[in-house]
Amino acid sequence: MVPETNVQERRATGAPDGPATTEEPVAADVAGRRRYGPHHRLGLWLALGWLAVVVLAAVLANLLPLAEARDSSKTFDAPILASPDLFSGHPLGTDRQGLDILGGIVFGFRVSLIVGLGSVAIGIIIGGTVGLLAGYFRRSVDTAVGVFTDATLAFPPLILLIALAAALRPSTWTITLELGVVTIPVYVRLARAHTLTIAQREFVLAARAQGARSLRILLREVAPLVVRPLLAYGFTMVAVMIVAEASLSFLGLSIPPPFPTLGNMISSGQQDFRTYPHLVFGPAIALFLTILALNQVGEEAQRRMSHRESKL
Amino acid sequence: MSTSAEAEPAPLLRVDNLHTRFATEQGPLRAVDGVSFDLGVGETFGIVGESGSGKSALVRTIMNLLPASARVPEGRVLFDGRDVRALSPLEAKHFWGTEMAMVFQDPSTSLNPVKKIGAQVTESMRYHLGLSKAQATARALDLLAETGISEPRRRLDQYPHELSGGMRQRVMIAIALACEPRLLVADEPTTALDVTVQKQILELLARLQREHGMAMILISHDFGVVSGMADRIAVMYAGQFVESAPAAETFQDIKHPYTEALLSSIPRFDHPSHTRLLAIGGRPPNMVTPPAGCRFAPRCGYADDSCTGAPPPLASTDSDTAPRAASRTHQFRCIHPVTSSPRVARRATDHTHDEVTV
Repeated sequence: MVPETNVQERRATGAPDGPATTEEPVAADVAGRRRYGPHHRLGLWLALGWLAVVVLAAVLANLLPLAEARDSSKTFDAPILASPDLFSGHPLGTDRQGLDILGGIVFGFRVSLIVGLGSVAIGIIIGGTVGLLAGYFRRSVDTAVGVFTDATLAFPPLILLIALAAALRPSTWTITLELGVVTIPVYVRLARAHTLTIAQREFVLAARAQGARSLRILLREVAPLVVRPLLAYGFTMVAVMIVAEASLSFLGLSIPPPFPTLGNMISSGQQDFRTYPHLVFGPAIALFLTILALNQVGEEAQRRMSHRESKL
Repeated sequence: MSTSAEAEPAPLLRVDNLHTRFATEQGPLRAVDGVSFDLGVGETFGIVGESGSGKSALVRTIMNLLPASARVPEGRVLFDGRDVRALSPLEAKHFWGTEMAMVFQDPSTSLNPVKKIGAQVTESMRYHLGLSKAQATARALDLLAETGISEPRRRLDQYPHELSGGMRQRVMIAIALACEPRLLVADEPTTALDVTVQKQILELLARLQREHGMAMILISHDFGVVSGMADRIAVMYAGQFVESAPAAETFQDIKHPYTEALLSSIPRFDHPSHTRLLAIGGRPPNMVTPPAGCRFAPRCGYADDSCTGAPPPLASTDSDTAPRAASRTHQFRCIHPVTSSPRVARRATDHTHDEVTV
């Protein structure tokens, strides 16, 4: 928005810059307009709209007039492998067991959102706290945390997840916990790095001079500034976590069918893909749109966060 | 400390042979190396020195704000008779911020950017004085008004980036005064501000000090800032006070060559254009391995062989016939004191509140 007005002003006033300096700023402005121009806005609103639909559908799934999508014992009289027909009772068709695809997608959204938001929340809360402590107290705390995060990052996450899936009975909550735990080290590093720079800022010293002690400084001076980049990063991680859950589900390491998730719907639909492509395309397009929308919004959030950070 | 003949009231702050060492890869760095001074109730003590002379390390030692890499192997800081470095946790809880408070150099970094001004001003009052939110806010309004901030009520809901540099420094001063400290430490409070604002802030500090009866330690690299404010001035070089005297005497009767060199390096309006400044050649010594003798000897125009032998003792201008109280003495660390320098003395006397940098 700001670069746009700059361009207009510059063109309107025709401010005579020196010949050496005119080209570069204008080029930068045009690039800025391309990036943040009206099309970008439209994309952002479409993304927000789609996310609103996803969230509402997931929250209200039980109240929506959807055909049975979870319990195959109730679908004996439903048509199996019905083709998508927007005006029938099964707008996106049914699968081999007569379960409704649209209903599956809606319940799949619920799993995706719980896993995506939950695992990021676990990562930010635990990883952020540990990183804050390591960055603020340094010394032995930092060393211990460093060894732990390096070891966790060095361990192949897929193997860790397979082991966890074998040990814990897969459910929405265990998969959330697993993905949260696997990503904790990333948040630890991020929080630690930000804490290191913030703890050296003079206002921390000023707080100490005012008689504040470590806990108070951590909570009231340092944490509010560390939370911002963590949230910005966490927002983009929601999309990554949803894809990760879908991938695990596809591999059979997450919630098993018949309870529908986007991943296991794609997985069980692939054997009939040639003849009944809607089994895969329905959940795959839903997943694709959700991730695209999350990335759009996440990028915008990160841009605003970093923009405000640089102003402070 | 020289023995005082007159009966003197106990000082508010007594710094006694203070040493501060920073651990570096080359070895311990002697940032503060044997500093002693007394500060009475309501007095102002000015400390002048170039960058790296140990001014900030000294006040951070006094304020107990040293980083973890620092050690204080020797010396004591007595505030009202209490050793501040040996306070019990219970005593320390409400000591810092209420008895001693500090104003920092750069107001753009010493306020938390994501907290509103109101929260930052009221926080210490609520914590130390146990005021309710309404009481603390009322007092914050008074303090902001007292520090000359326009529209104090609006400022409470603003963030630091919405305020100008001078206004932020006024907020810092309001925060420092919130709990009525008896000693205010101002570490280069005007260095980051522009010249007209500098003068306003110095006048504000002087007025508040008078009204609240506070003692003040004023640090600067600028003689102009200190000369108009301080009762007593110490010149710091390489971790030590090389000269300390009542303010007027510092300029009239310079004893240490470093003080003389500092004063000669101040640009003056009455100099003809393009006058070459008398800069001090060389650099301050590496304080991991300070010179054996006088620390200024390698850069000193008067130095001879005797200067590089043993460190010069702290001498005094006192004659035996007229001993003066400790706070009135003129002390210096030089075996070849400057006898008299009318040229510099003349400059210094009318050099008050000139915002020029040494």
